[in-house]
Amino acid sequence: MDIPYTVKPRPDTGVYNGKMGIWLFLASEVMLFGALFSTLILLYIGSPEGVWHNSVKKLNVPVATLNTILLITSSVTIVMSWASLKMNNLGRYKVFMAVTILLSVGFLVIKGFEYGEKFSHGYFPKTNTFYAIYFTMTGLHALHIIGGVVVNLYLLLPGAKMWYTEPERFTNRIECSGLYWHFVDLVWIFLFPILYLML
Amino acid sequence: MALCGLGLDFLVSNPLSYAVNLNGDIIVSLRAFHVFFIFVSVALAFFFGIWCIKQGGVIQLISAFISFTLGVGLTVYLFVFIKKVRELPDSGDTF
Repeated sequence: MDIPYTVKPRPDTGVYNGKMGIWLFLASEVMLFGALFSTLILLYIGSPEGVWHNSVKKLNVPVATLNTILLITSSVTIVMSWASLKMNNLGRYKVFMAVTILLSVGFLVIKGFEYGEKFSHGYFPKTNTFYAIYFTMTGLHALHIIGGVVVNLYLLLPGAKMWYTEPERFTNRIECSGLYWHFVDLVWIFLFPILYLML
Repeated sequence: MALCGLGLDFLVSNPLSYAVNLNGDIIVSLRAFHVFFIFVSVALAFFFGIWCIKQGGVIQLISAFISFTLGVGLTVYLFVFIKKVRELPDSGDTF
C-alpha cells in the first residue's frame, strides 16, 4: 500500500504530509522551549540581587560564540545538502551532510568541555537557580542536537538508499530534517544572547 | 532602486517579506525558514558586536570587528542565497 502525499502536496493543507508533521512537532517544541524561557525570566526576576550576575560572569563567552558559529555554519551546510539533491547531485549531498554532522558533533564536544569546566569548579544545577535553568535549557538543547545527529547520520548512511528508488521523497525527508535542524539552531540563537550576554 | 536590477526589489522594503507569499500566508519551506534564520543570525552578529564594544578592551574591539564582518558576510550570503535558490526546481507546495 502506498502512503499518500509523501511527494505531492495534500490539497487541504497545501503541503506534503511529512512537512505538515514536522511543523506540528516544531509547534510543540516552541511551547516547550517557550515555557522554559518564561521560567528563566521568572527565576531572574525572583533571584536575590547579584547572585545571577555573578554566575553569568563565570560563563565562557568565547567558547559559546564559537559554538554559535558552528551551528550557523551547520544550518548553511544542511540547506546546501538539500539543494544538492534538488540538483540531482547525491555526492555533493553526502559531503554537505557529513560536514553538518561533524559541525554538530563539534558543538557537542565543546559543550561537553564547557560542562566539565563548570563541574570541576563545583557549579551544578543545585548550586543556584541560574545554574538550574542554565543546565536545563542548554542540556535539553544538547539533547535535541544529539537527536538531530542521529537522524542526519541515518539519512547520510542507510537512509540514502531511498534516493535510488524514490528521489523526490528522499529530498523531502532532507527538507524536514533541515527544518528541524534550523529550529534547533534558532533556539540556540536565542539562548546564547539571553544566557551569556544579557543577564 | 539599486537592487531592482538584480531582481531583489522585493527585499527593499523588508527581507522577511520573502518568507510570506502574496496572500500573506507564512511559507513553510526550508528555503523560507533559512532566510528567516540567516536574518536572525545577522541581527545576532550585530548585537554581539555592539556588546563587545560596550565591554571595552582591545580583544573585545577585535571581536566586535570580526562580528560585524560576519554580519556583513551573512547579509551578502542571504542575498546570494535568495537569488540562487529561485533557480532550484519547485517543491510544488509553496514556491
